[in-house]
Amino acid sequence: MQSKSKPGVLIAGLFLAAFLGAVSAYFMLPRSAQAPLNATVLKQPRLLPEFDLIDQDGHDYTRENMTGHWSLVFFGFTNCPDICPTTLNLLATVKTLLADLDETMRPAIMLVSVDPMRDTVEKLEPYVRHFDPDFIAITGDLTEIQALTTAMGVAVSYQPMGDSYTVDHTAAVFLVNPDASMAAVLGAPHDPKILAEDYRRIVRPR
Amino acid sequence: MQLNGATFALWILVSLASLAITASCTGPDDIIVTQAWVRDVPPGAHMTAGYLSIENKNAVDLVITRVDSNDFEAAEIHVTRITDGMAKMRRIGQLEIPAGKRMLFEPGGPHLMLIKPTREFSPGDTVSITLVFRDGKRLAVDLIVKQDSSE
Repeated sequence: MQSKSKPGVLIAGLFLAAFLGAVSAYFMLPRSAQAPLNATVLKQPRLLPEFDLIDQDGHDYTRENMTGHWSLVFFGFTNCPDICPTTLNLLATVKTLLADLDETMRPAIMLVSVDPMRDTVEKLEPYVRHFDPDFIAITGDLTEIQALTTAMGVAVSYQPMGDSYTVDHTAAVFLVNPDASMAAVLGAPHDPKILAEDYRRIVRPR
Repeated sequence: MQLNGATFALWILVSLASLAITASCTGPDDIIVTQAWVRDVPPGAHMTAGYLSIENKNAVDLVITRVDSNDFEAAEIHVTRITDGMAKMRRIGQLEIPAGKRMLFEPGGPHLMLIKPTREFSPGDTVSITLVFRDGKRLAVDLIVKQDSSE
């Protein structure tokens, strides 16, 4: 009996060793070889369309403004009491978690209003600054906003609410690369630590 | 009266129990509300969301049918649902808390939609709301104003 179990133990031992070896190798891999925890990385980054909007300071904001740096983009609106402030606070935390990065590798963080009818520059400036003084908010003509939402796959739907309306919208955070191309989608619900880690794994800052 | 060991232990227990309730509330002892907070209204916004944990220690289901507040022009119950990646917020007319269960109002889920503050407040202040139940019970709740849930 004893002689029959020996090969079994040996094989089990080899499998265990191989498994442990693989696990160790994975964790010893450079971060760039580790897959993101939650983000969906596009096989080919998708160049954003040209658009003509304005930022919270009333300055023109176009696709050109998104080149030269990474951006984390969230679509929301100021008449949203729950998910939008929650996400903006979360993104402020993500910014803190990435503060150790070189300035050129840190993301710009941007809110795109899906409710440009009510979200004027005057409304957006104090709103977005409340979450972080560096945050950007953009608004403008609805057709220009729609060019962006359509291209990025952001669903937007206006729903009556009382004597006003609310806006259903895709809650993902989008990662745009320095070529103003959509590189990844980070789906909701979000965790700031996971979001920051995924940023590092995709952007691979040196 | 001599303070014996049992009385002292009971005193400690009661003190700890009262400390466990982080937001004050007056009303039936069989409804326990904790972790009640409201997000500070961002400038430019006219509404905010309130959150809390409510435990129904009754043997019967509780139904919240209305929310009253002097600190806001209107107070409603809303729920955020994320379906296929899309966030949708809807008003719900009533919220049921089954017997023996706890309901959590939290970011990304059920929340109190508090519309148009009637006065100014900032982090550290408290605002007051009253939960009204179908059976006529009323429960006053103080919500602590915070910038964010992480505080």
